[in-house]
Amino acid sequence: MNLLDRYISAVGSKIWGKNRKDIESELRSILLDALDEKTESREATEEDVAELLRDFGHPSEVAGRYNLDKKYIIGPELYDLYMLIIKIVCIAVPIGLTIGILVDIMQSQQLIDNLFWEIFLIVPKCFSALVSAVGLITIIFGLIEKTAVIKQEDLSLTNKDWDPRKLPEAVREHDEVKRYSKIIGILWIVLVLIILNFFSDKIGVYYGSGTGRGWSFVPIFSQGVLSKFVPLWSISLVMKLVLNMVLIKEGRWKKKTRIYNILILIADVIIFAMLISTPDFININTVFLKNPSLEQELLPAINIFEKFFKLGLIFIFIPMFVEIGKEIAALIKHWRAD
Amino acid sequence: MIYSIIVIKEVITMSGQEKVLEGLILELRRGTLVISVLSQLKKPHYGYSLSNKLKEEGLNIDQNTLYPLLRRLESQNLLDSNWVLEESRQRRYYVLSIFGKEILEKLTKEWNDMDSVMSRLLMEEEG
Repeated sequence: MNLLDRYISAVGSKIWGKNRKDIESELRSILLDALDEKTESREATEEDVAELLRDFGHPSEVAGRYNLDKKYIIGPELYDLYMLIIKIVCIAVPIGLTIGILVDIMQSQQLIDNLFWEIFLIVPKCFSALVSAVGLITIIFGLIEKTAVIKQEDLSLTNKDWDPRKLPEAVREHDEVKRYSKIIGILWIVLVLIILNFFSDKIGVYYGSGTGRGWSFVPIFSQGVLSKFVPLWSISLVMKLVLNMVLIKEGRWKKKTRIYNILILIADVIIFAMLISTPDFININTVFLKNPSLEQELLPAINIFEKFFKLGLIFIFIPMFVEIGKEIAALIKHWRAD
Repeated sequence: MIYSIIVIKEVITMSGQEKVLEGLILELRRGTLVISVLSQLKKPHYGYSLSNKLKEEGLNIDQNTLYPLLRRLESQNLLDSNWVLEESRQRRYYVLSIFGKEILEKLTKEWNDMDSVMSRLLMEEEG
């Protein structure tokens, strides 16, 4: 009977829910009946039991049949994309983190002195970062699954009251939403939110100091100024996040979502214009004032920065205006079609 | 050589066809499982006796399918169940509930309608 107990216990351990004990009892009764029939009136041997259990099926398979409510965090609609992103993250996070740690090591003499230890620490740091990243992505996908993915039961044909005349217009090509790109967008927004709120001091120019002391770093933005803008940016990003969720759910652009998007884009332009018009939002001058001797050392970084900064601004503003223009054009198209 | 390649190709094609057929038969049978089980539970049965009864009638249901199915039907209030101590062994007996009887009646009517439609369709095919 030991084998039977072990089998029932193995099945039971894979069944989650309040019926577990009841299922175990029923399974025992069924198996004993089957064993009786198999052995007729003779005593069952261990081989009889083993054969019976083999025929009955692997515990995982049996338990799987009893787990009737297939509830999952990530359903079949999102599973492939989820796995793809997890694979990318599993490759990108260790590479990114290793580069970051190596840059840190090059910047600090103290870290160079403990080089072996710092390199050894890359493994646990990667593991910890991977766990956080995978967890965060899973939470995001779970939320999308919970809130935005249309479930099969929603499409149930049992509701006889529906009226075909009330169906929305067929989706026009330019109103169609590519759901996968919106999911990628959500992940991107979350990443930017994390960087802005927790690591904004790490945004900067890294450069070789040329003095044999490895790498130096100048944060781009003045933390004092940035801290005033981070809440505004975060609100804008959260609004985009909500927009992406709505678009995933609806599968199409509507007038409301277009207007909402235009408002967010205009808000982005205003926030960005406010930011760049704020004196000293770029950190370099503040650094020089505090430590004039650094000026010579930081010269290469300033040159790089000044050369590309204005160009960078154009590259940021132009797409913003193009995007607003495209959205307005699409909205007008929408109105004309109605 | 060419002959053996053709033979191998035919064997592969056959096994592919068999797989398709097997899948379709499975699908067809799956649709009839609930009504088959409900039809035999006008009288109480425990899992193993029901499995044997169905086998006697020519319907061989995999045990791993039958027992969870009984639980699902019970959770849908189509069956009632209770534990009975019998020959020093606890057995869970299932029987149609009042709701289950109503459903079986409707399913039977549906089945009969389908049966006559299918017979007509298949007769046309043969003709």
